[in-house]
Amino acid sequence: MDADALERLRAVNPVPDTPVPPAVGQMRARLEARRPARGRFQRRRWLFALAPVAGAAVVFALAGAGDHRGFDVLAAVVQATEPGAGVFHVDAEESYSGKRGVTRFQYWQTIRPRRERMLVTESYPGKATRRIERAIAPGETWHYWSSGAPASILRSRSTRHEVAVFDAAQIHQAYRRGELRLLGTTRVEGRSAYRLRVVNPEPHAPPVDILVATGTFAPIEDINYRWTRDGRLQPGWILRYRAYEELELNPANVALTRMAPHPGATLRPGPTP
Amino acid sequence: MQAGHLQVMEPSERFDALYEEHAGAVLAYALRRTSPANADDALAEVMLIAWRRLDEAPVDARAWLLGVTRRVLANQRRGSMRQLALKDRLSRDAPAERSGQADEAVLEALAGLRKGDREVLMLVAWEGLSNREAAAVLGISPKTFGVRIHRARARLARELEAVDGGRTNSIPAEVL
Repeated sequence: MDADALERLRAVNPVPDTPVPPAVGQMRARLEARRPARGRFQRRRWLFALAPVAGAAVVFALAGAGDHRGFDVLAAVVQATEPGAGVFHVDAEESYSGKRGVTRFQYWQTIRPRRERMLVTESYPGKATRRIERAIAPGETWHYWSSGAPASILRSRSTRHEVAVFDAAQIHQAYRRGELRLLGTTRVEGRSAYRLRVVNPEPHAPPVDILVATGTFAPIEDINYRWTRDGRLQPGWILRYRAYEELELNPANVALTRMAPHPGATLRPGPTP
Repeated sequence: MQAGHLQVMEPSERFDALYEEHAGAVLAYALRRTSPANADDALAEVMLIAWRRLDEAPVDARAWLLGVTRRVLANQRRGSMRQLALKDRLSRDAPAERSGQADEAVLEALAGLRKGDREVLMLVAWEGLSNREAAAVLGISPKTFGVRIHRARARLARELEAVDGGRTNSIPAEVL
């Protein structure tokens, strides 16, 4: 049976044949563009030496000029994104910079007991809108429905804790590891925001910027950078928050964590999504 | 690639040889786990790292490069939300588009496994690696990998039984 399962898995290899990569000359040109020239690197070493001083000056100027004199902005952001006792709610839209497709994420969660519901709606030009719904109820009961197979609601039980990764988890982890930086202030659609950067310690890994509201410290926007072929950083996936809030713990809000009815769908056992 | 040849090669020649021999495998590995755009980025990242760490590359560099690719992909931040959408596409649409005779059940079963189990199975079934090579990709001993693949295969079989059984065992929906 094990061997049979592995054979079946081999048969559905999504890339059965080795793809043809770009020609080596093309790749070398691409890498050369990202490799700093010796002179540039030597000059940058001076900049690196000055970076802590410059960074401190930026933070000092920020603290002195803003409403948060002497205030630890990073700690405030961590505190503001700690899970609370209410119903955590996120409504966000994600798109790739310069592309028209949008994926909307709606999420409701309580911590004790653990309840979670997520709606994912993908809208891409020329393709049918796709919807996915997943809910986790107390007792670790998972339900999953997809517009790709609307006649079924899959039910499973799992103690797996793969909760949605919104900024909170990333911010807290980066803060603990000393990988969270305050770059300064900016404006997003008329709102004042702090720009934080999650610095990836892996060499050459692009950073992620998180913009948080200056008043509430709640996330407004995530910008996941990518390297261009000529060695520049440019925005890739961008997640914009319509809502990032803690709702009051009452029956109406708790009901938002439950799976919505899907008329005509049958419930059947299935894998944990 | 022959070890003797490596010793007399210039770094640029070594890089070219390494690229010609393994870039396809790196790209395939990435394409099996992420979108084409991200796979393209990952290939460039991996080759940049390979170029800078050429001296660390073993003679048979495939497992080393796939290990680097694995870490590069892990660093492409992807929340579980997008992964869920990706898994849904993978398990429902993509096989039908690719082969026309999709075994949806096995993809559903794979999607139901823990990430670690999925990876060891994919390394063997899709990357076609031996236990020793796959262990090198994960940075663990072949013996440990042997235990993991044994358990992952058993879990896949159990999950597959559940999925196959579930397909013929529907029950009416209830109030959730």
